[in-house]
Amino acid sequence: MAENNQNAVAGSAPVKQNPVVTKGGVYKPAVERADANPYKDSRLSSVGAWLQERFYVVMPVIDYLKKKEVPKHRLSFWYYFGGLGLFFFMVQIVTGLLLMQYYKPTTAEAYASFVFLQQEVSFGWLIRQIHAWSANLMVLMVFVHMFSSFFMKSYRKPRELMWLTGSVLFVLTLGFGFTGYLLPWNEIAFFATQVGTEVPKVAPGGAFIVNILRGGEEVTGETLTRMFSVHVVLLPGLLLLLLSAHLLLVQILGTSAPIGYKETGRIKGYDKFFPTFLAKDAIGWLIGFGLILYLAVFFPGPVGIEANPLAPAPMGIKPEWYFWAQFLMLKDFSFPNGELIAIFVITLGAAFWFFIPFLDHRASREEKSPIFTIIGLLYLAGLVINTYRVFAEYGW
Amino acid sequence: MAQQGNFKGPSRLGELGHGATLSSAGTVSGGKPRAQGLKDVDFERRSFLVKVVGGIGAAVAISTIYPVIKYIVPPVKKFSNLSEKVVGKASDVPENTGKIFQFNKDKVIVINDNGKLTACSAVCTHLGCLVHWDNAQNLIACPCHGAKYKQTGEIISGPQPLPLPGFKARVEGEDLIISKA
Repeated sequence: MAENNQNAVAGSAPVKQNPVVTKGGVYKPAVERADANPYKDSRLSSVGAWLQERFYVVMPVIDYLKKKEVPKHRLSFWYYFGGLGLFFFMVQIVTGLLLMQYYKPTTAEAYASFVFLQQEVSFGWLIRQIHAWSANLMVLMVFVHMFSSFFMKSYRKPRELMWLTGSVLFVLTLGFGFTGYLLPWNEIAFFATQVGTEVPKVAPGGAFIVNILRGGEEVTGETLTRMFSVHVVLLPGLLLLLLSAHLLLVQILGTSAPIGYKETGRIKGYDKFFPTFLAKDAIGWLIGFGLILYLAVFFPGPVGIEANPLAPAPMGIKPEWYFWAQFLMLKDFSFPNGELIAIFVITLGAAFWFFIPFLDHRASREEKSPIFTIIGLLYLAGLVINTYRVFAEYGW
Repeated sequence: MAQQGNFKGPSRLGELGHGATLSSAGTVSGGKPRAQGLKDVDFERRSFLVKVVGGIGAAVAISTIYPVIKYIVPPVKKFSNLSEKVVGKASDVPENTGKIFQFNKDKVIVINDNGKLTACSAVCTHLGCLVHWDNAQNLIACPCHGAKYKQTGEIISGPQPLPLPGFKARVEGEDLIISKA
């Protein structure tokens, strides 16, 4: 606020430096402090004033945040999906913590505790189903957020780092899906992990990575413990770190508007981020919460049968939907060395996607870059078509 | 606080606190006052210090990371290396079915095809799923990515690069015995 800043100016005017030389000849810097509270005249509650007196250093930051605005235009709708992904992640933290109160990550007890949780514990079924559905929706929201940012070219200068941190967040989200999938220790989880962790083996030196991922040569109790620790410690830590950077960048650089929208007057106005846009976000979150409750109650996921390392893989086994496109590629490339080529293609495609901000020079000059729009459409079409093909062949 | 480099930063950043001097400006709680600049700083000593601390730090970091990596790599599991093993009863594998047994470090599928016993590795050479005996089609099938093998483990079709390694199975009295091929 203006009055705050006038105080800040008055309170912290540079003070003249007068080095004090004491008798002993030892240099001591002058003890000079800024005004204890340059905001002391701003109108606040007593608690607010108490806090302000101690945190006045961050006042300019708060003033800065108050200025964040979100442009309103034809495509503003797509601004809500990142926030929705964040909301579903918060649901995951809370439900994940609740699930951990009963879950036991050992082969002897994992499946039993998973069944106990769902059949004996009050609302255990609900917590587990919400965790599962919220995970799926989080992945979906991250996909939508990523592609909408791509097509609006929000990655262009100066927001390259937002794209890069977002890309890592995307990989971490998939990592959550993959590591969490094994934890029920049921048959489908067992073989999905078997296939997923086998994949690096086709690359040279991959057996070493597989060994580390599994905690041994095969999927065993050691694998379960590793997946559990990565799922509940490593990934949440990394994700929070990256998320902080991602959100900080959104605050500093502001929300991007599509290329040419400002110049051609297609921006109808601006919403203040605090509180207007946040309130609109919250409407989306409420709808999202309603949706996970609906899905959890009416479309509960199966408990499955306990994993047996000596039983053949069940018929029609397939991974979660967000890995379907890659899964089909592994199946399609049935010629010699097909897996290696499939993995190479997937890795190359991901790397290209990651470095998009540095390749799309036209967008960085605020010019339209239809070639990259087409590239994005090809990626999207590849994912959607392959995902649909798996759906057509296997069903849900 | 000023934007460095050539890119035009968001205008809001310049407005941070309406251009107010940071409240810590003019306050130096320790060290030499800014007014004197860096003219008295002994850069030679400082760079020596940085080198020593950096060098020792790197040595400590490497000697810390080494055991951590060794710790993450799991110890090699020891398996028995028998040339043959009684894995169960003959009745465990009824006619026209297959069953998987652990034999040394391998998982072996024993197939009873109208009384004739065959055995081969049960681990699909594609991505390691466990195969099953499809009696209707008289072949070994992997449900994960559609690999198909003959009863003896040779490839029929699918994405798998190699055939299934063979083993031998026989019945002695009541016992079902798997042996190396």
